[in-house]
Amino acid sequence: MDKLNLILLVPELLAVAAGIGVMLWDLWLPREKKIALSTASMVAAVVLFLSTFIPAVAEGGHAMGGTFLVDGMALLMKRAFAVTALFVFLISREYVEDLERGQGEFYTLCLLALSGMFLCASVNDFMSLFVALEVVTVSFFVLVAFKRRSTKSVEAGLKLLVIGSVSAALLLYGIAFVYGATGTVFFDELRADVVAPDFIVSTELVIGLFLIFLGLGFKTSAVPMHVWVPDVYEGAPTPVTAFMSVGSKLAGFVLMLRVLEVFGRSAAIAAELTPFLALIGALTLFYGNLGAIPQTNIKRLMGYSSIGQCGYILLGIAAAWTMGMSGALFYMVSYVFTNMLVFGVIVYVARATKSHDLDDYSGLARSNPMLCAAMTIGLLSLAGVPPLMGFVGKLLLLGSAFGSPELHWLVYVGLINVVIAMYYYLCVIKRMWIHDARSPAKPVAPMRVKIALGISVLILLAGGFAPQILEGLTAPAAAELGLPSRPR
Amino acid sequence: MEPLALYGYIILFAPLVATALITCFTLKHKAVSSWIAIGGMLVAFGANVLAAMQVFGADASFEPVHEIEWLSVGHVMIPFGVQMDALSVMMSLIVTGVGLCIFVFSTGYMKGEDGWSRYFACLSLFSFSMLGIVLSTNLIQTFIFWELVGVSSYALIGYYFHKDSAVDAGKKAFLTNRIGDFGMTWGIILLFYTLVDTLGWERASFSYEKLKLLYHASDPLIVQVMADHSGTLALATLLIFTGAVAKSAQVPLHVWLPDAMEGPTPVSALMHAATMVAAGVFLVCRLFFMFAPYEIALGVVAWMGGITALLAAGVAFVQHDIKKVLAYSTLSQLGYMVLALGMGAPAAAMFHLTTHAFFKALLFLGSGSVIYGCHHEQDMRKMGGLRKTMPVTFWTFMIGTAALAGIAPFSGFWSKDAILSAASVGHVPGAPILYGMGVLVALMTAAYMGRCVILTFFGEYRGHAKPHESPVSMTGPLVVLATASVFAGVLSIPKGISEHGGWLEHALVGATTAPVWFPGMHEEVFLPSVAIVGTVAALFGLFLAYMFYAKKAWSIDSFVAAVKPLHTLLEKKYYFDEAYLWLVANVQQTIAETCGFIEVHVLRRIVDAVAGTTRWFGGQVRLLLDGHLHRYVTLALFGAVVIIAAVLVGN
Repeated sequence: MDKLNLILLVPELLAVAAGIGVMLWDLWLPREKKIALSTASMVAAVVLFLSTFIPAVAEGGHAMGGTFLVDGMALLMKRAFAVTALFVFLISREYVEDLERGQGEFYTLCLLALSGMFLCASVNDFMSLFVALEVVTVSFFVLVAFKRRSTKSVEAGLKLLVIGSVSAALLLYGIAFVYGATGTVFFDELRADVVAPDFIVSTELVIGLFLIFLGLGFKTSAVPMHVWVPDVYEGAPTPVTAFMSVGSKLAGFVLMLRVLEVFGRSAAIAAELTPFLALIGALTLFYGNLGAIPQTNIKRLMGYSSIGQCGYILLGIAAAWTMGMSGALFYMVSYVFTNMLVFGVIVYVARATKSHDLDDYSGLARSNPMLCAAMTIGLLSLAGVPPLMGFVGKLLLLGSAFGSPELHWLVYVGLINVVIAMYYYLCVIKRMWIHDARSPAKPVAPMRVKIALGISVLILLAGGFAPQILEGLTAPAAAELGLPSRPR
Repeated sequence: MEPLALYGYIILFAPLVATALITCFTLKHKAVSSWIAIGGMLVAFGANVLAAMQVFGADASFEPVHEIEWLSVGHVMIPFGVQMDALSVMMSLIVTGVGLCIFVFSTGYMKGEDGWSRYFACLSLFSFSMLGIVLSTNLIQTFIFWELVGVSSYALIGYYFHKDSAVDAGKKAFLTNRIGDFGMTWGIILLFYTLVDTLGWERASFSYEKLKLLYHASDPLIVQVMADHSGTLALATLLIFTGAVAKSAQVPLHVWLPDAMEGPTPVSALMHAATMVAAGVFLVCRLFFMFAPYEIALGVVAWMGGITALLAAGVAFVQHDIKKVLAYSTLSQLGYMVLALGMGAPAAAMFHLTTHAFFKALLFLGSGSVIYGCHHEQDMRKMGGLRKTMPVTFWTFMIGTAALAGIAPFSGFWSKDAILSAASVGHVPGAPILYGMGVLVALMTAAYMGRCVILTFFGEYRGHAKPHESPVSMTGPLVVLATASVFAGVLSIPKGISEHGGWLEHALVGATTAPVWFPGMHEEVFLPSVAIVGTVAALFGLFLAYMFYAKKAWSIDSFVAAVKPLHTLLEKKYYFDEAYLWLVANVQQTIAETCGFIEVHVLRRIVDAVAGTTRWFGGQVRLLLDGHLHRYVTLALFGAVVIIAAVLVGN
C-alpha cells in the first residue's frame, strides 16, 4: 500500500513524456516539416492505448502510497481516452497545419490534457482528484483560446476560465466540508469509514458531496454548471470542441463515478445523493434538449446535445447500483465513437464551407454521401435509435433507473426527452437528405478520416447488434466498484 | 462450434454475402453479378449436402441446435442461431438445390433484361431470408426472416416496376401478407404472454426446442397449466397459423398468389411455387407440437387446406395464361399439404412439399422456356404443337405433368398417395368428406394439367412468331429437375411396398413429433384401396382432358353452356377480389376516413400544441444564455444554491 509502485503510472508518465517530447521536437523541426508532429502524436496515442495492456498495468492495484488506483473502470476509461485523443489527432491534422504558429503547443497541450484524463481515471484521494481535474481544465483554457486572433475563441477561453474557477472553488469548498466531516481525504480510508456501523451522516458531509458533484458537473456540463457550454463549444477551434465534448466530459464523469463509488457504499449517503443527482439529471435533460431546438449553429447544437447526453448518464449515476454504473460506462464508451463520428464530419464540412451554420448541411447527401451517411448514423445513435449502440446505452441507463421505484418519474422524464431529442437530431438529418444545397462547397475528408469514420460506424452497428461484447467489458468493471448489485 | 452448426451458418450467410457483394461492388458488371449469386448458392448447397450427410448419416450423434444470446432485455432473451435437424436440413436442401437450378436458368431467361444485377441481388436476398426461416431456432427469428421474405418477394414481383400491373401485384402480395403477419405477431405475443403468465419468466421461451419441452412435459404442474389454458394456447396457435395461411396462400388469403405471376417466371418458380409459399407448411411442421394437442386447431387447418385445394383446382380450368394455370395448381397443391397437416401427417405434408418443389419448379421453368421460346407469349390459345419445336422442354414438361397428376411411379404419385391415405383415416370432424374432396381434386388436377399440355404442346401451332428451343442454360436445369421429379418418390415409398420405405417419415419423426398421448398422429401406411382410387381418379381426369381437348369427341363449348353459372363463378374466381374490393371501398375506406378525420382535427392539433409548447420552452431556455459572463456566473451559483436548498428541504 505504501509502495511507490511506479509501473502502474506508465500510461500517465508516457503521456507526459510524449507531450514534452513533442514540445522539444517542435523547437528544431523546420516549419515545413511540422506535419511530422501530427504523425508523432497519433503514434503516441496508439502507444498510450497499448500501454494500458502492459501486464503489470492491466493487473491493476495501488500506487503512490495508495493515492493512485488502477481498477477495471480506470483501465477501460484510459483506453477510451486514448481512443478519443487518437480521433482528435486524426481530425485536427489539417486544422493544425493551417496554423501560423504553435503547432507543437497544440499537440503538447492535447497530450498533457490526456495525461490529466488518465490521472482522473485513477485518482484515489481528493487532493489528486483536484490536481488531475485541473490538469485537464488548464490545458483546455489554452486550447479553447488557441485562435488567438479570433475574438470568439479568446472570449470562449475567458468564459471557460472564469466559470472553471468558480466551479473549482465549489469543488474545493466541498472537499473541505467532507474533510471536516470525516477527517480524511483518502478514498481507501473513506471506503472503510462510510460502511462502519458507527458512521454518522452529517449535514456537512452531505452538503460537501453536493458541492463536489456540482464542481464536477462543470466538466460533465450538468445543470447548473453547464452555462459555459454553448458559447465555448461555438468559440473553440472545432477539433478542440470535439476533444472537450468527449474527453473532458468523460473525465468529469469518471470522477463522479469514483466519488459515488466511494460514498455510495453507504446506503444512508446514497439515499441523500440519489434525489440530488436525479433532480440535476432531470434538469440537465430538459435544459439540453429544449435548448437545442432553436439552434442554427451546428456547434451550439452539439453543445446543447452534449448537455442532454450528460443527463442520461446522470440517470445511471443517480440509480447508484451496479447496472447504473455498467450502463454509464457503456454509454461513455459508445459516446466516444458517436460524438467523434459526428465531429469528424463537422470538421470537414466546416473546412469546405468556412462556417458552422446548420444551413451548410443542406444537401450533404448529394455533395458527399459518405460523410452524410456517417453523420446520420452518428446522430441516430445519439438519438438512441435501434439497432445502434446509443440505443443500448440508453436502454441500460433507463433500465437501471427503473430498478428503483422512487426513480420511475425520472425514467419518464428520460423517455420524454428521447422524443424531444429525436426532433432536433432528425431536423439535421432531414436537412442533409432532403433539402437542396445552399452553398456550392463540396466537403471532402482524407482517407485516414474516412477509415476512422467507417470503423466508428461499424462499431456503432456492432455495439447495437451485439451489445454483449462491450457489456462484457463494462459489467465486470462496474461489478468491481463495490456498489450494490440490486436496485435500492 | 461443431461442424454441423458451422455448415448452418455458411448455408445461411453465403447468399447474404452474395447480395452484399453485388449491391456494393458489381451492379454495373452483369456477368460477375450472376456468377457471384450462383457462387453463393453453390457454397450454400455444398455446405447443405455436407450437413445432410451428417444429419441423415448412420452416426446420429449430433447437436441440432446452436444458439447465441442475441438480445436480452430483463428476463426476455431472444436467441439467434441455426437448427440443423432433419426437417430443416431437408427443407434447406430443397431451397438451395432448386434455387441453384433456378439461378442458372435465370442466366438464360433474363438475357437482355434491364436491372440484371438487381435481379440477382434480390434473388440472393430472398434465398438468405428463406434459409433464415428454415434454419431459425425460435419464433422471433422466424418472424424477422418471415418479413424479409415478404420484402424480397415484393421486390421481385414488382421487378418490372415500369408495368403498373406488376407494381400492383407486388403491393397486393405485400398487403395480403401483412394481414397474416399481423395475426402471427399477435399469436407469438399471446403465446409468450400466456406462458409467462402461467409458468413464469424462467420457463417461457421463444425457442422451438424449449417450447417443445413444455408441450411434452411430464411435470404434472406444467401439464396441468397447459391443460387449464388450452383454449388460449389453441387460439395463439391458430393466430400463428394465420401467418402460414397468408404465406402459403390458403383461402381466404390466397388472392395475392395468382397476381404474383407478374414477376419474372424463374421467380414464380422459385418463390411462388417451390419454396416461399411452402414456408407456411414448413412452419406448421416446425410447430406441429403446438397444433397436435388441439383437435379444433387441426380441424381448422384440415378444412382450410381441403377447401383451398378444391376451389383453386376449379379455377385452374378456366385460365388461358399458362402461368396462371400453374399458379392455381400451386394453390391447390398447397391446400393438399395443409390438408395433410390437419390430418396429423406432417411427414406426408413435407413429402409432398419436397416432390412438389421439384415438379412445380420444373413446370414453371418449363412454362418459362415455352414463354421464352414463343417470344414472351403466355396465352395458351396462341400456342400449340410445340412438342416438335421444343423437344426437351416438351419431355421434361410431360414428366412434371405426370408427377403433378399423380401417375405412378412418378414422385407426385407417392406423396399424393401419402396425403390421401392420411385423409382416409383422419380423425378431424368431417374427415370422410375431406377425403372425398381430396380424391376429387386429384381428378381435377389431372384434367386441367391434361388441358394445359394438350393446348400447349399438341395440335397445330396457333401463334405468329416462330417458336424455338431454349438454350442449354435453360434446358439443363429442366433436365435436372425432371430427374428429381421422377425419383424424389423414393424418399418415402410406403413401408407396405418396400421394406426400406418410409425413410422420410422416419427421419422427420424427431423434428415433427407430437406428444406421446396425441391420438390423431397418423402413421404412414400403404393402403391399396386409396392408391387405386387415386390412380383411377387421375386417369379419369386425363381421359376427360383427352376427350374434350385432343380428340374433341365432346364439345367443350356445349359443356360450358350447360354449366354456365358454374363457369362464370370460376371465371370470376368466386368473386373473392370483388368482395375484397367492396370491403376495402366501403368498410375500410369508412374507417380510414374516420381515422383521417380524427387525425387532422384532433390528434394533429394536440401534437401541434405539444410541439409548439416545446419549441417555446426551447426559445426561452436559449434566452438564459445570452453571452453575458456575469449572468452566467450568477445563474450557476444561484442554481447551485437553489438545487442544494431544494434537495435538503425535500429530504
